[in-house]
Amino acid sequence: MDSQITVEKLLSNMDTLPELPEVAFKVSQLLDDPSTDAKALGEVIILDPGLLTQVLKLCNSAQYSLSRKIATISEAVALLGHKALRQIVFTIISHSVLNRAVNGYGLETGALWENSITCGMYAKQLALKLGFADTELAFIAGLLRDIGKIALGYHLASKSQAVRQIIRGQRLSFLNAEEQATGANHSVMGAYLSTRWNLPDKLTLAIQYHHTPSKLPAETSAEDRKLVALVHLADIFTMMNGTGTGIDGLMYTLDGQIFEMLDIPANGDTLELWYAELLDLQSEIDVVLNTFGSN
Amino acid sequence: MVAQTTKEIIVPVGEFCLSSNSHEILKALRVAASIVVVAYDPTAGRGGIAHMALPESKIASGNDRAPGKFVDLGLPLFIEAITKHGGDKAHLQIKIVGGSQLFNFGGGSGNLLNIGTRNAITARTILNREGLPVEKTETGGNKPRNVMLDIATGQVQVSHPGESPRII
Repeated sequence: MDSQITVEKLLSNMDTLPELPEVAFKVSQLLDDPSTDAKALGEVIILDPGLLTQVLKLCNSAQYSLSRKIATISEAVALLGHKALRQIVFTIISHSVLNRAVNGYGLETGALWENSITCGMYAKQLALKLGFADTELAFIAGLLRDIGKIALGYHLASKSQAVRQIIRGQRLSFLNAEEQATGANHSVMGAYLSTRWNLPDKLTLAIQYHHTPSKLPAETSAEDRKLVALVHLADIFTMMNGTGTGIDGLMYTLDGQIFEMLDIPANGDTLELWYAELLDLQSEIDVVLNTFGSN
Repeated sequence: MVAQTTKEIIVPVGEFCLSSNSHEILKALRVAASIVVVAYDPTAGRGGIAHMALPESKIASGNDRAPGKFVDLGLPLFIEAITKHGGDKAHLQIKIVGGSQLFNFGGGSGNLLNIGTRNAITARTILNREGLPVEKTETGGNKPRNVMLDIATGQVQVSHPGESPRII
């Protein structure tokens, strides 16, 4: 069955669909345009009750170590820049979507959120290390890569026994087991939601191929391939760390093509050292989680 | 008299924790590729959990070489600390938990990042060198584990996310 039709059929069986606030799309569009001024941005952000307060709270958190307290969006733009503000806004609006229990994956409230923030921070750090220009975009891609689990988890909840049997009997990865049990996997489901939410194509690609970067369409640009590959690596390191992982645990594979895509040697010692360095981000991750009172 | 409530202490990766307080439970949560070594001396009522991420420190230098992160540096320090603080090596009950691996890892990417397996091997080697027999091992597989040590009883419980805990 065509995966698009399967995803639509699965989503149509749900009482409510996960939604990203509309302001996300507007902010995303505004922040993608370098000519957007702080006033226009402030006018959009203030439309969402609570968003402005949260934005300022994160701007003033230890994560950004600003020398003075900021009180307006204009100041935030001036001191942090468009890209950092985009990261902050996406972090806040993602919280409402990701900070929930996902029964089909054995995730209690907060687990997927912690896992997603960890992956976002790892992706950003890897982007910095690998010379990927838009490190904040890498953060957002890492943050949102598993949004499909929220929708697919609804259907997996009643099929956990079948999934276990499929994995045990056929030695399949969890992604393949999801497909066998439901007809779709969380990457495809996430990409569908991303399109539905009008997120940029780059993010949709990263969400859809975060487990299988080597399957990206041939026409994908080198820059986008790099983004997806580094999100894949960040995802692998997040699984190894274990933070907020569910019943799917580490039942995924490392895509060997990423070394070529990222132009790095396939060297185990280098990867281990990177992993050791990423573990040092825990205090920064805790700062973000504490801002939301979930850690 | 008011009964004392039990306090749960989370031991994050890169750290170890010792206790002789019978009202404390030490926990390491979602231990995936990392390895947890649990040591308990029933005669002293003292125990601890060491939660380490990587097998060997030779890959790192400077600030990246925090001893608690590496089994080859952190585990000897943990054993030294527990004996220095009243635990008797001859009585230590040792259990190793964790060391999960990515799925189907023998494929195209060879043995890159087989940290889980090597963490478990390194821990065993060091404990063997220290003359400490390992009473129980629950390592490998593809799922993270939660590990819990009850200082009052020395009981160690292990659970996968979404599953009930088991005593090991």
